[in-house]
Amino acid sequence: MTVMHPLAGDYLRHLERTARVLPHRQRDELVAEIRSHLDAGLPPDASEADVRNLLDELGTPTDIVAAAQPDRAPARRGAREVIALILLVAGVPLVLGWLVGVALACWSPLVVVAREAGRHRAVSRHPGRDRSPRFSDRRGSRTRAGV
Amino acid sequence: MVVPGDVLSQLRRGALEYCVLGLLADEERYGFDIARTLGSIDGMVTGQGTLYPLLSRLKKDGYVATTWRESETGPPRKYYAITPSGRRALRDFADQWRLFRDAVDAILPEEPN
Repeated sequence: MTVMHPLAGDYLRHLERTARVLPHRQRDELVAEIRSHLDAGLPPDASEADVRNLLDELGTPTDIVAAAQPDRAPARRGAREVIALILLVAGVPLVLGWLVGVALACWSPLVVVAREAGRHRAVSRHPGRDRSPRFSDRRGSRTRAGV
Repeated sequence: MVVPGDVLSQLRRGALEYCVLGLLADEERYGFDIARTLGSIDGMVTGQGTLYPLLSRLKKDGYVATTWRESETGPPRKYYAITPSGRRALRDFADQWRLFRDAVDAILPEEPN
C-alpha cells in the first residue's frame, strides 16, 4: 500500500468510527473497499486538491454507512417505537389508576370501619390479661366488703 | 406527493443495482472502476462510496462474485463478476424496465411545460 495522504487517512478513520454500527465483517469489508478505492484513485504524488476531489466524489462516511444499513432497519425500529409509545401512554392511566385506587381505598368508610373493627379485635384477643384480673379484683373487693 | 429531488432518488434506488449488473454484463471490473464509471454518468449516484454497500448486497444475494487479482500499480484489487443468477435478474429487470418505460412515455406529454 502506498503512503496515504493525511486527509485520506482522516477520512478513513472517520469512516471506521461511523461504521461501528455495522456488524464486524461488514464494517471491515466496507473500510477495506474504501481504502482500496483511495489507493486506486490517488497517485503517490496526488495533490491536496486531488485528494479533496476524490473524497467529495466518495460522499460522506455518514452517507456511505447509511447505504450499508438495510432498508428494513428503520421500519423495525418504527414498530418498536410505536409499541413503546402505546405502552407508555396506556401505562400512565394504569399506574395512576392503581394509585388512585389505593388512595380511595384508604379513605373509604368501609375500610375505616373494618380497620376500627380490626383494632377492637386485636384488643379483645387478650382478654385474660386485660379484664379477668380486674373482674376478680372487683369480686374480691366485693367479698371483702361483704365480710 | 414527493418533491422532484426525491423522484430521482426513488427511481435510482430501484434501478441502480441493475445498472451495476449491466455494467458487469460483458466484463468483470474492480470497485473503483465501477464507482468511477457510474459516477461519471449524471444523476446515477450521489456519492460513489455508497456503491460499495450496494456491491456487498449484490454479492450476498449471489448476483455477483468476487476475485482478488494482482494489480500492476498497487495492492491486489477485488474484481466483481456477474453470476448466472445475476444475469437472470438483469434480464428480468430489463424486460420490466422497457415495459414500464414505454408505459410512462405513452402517458407523459411529449413536451412537458
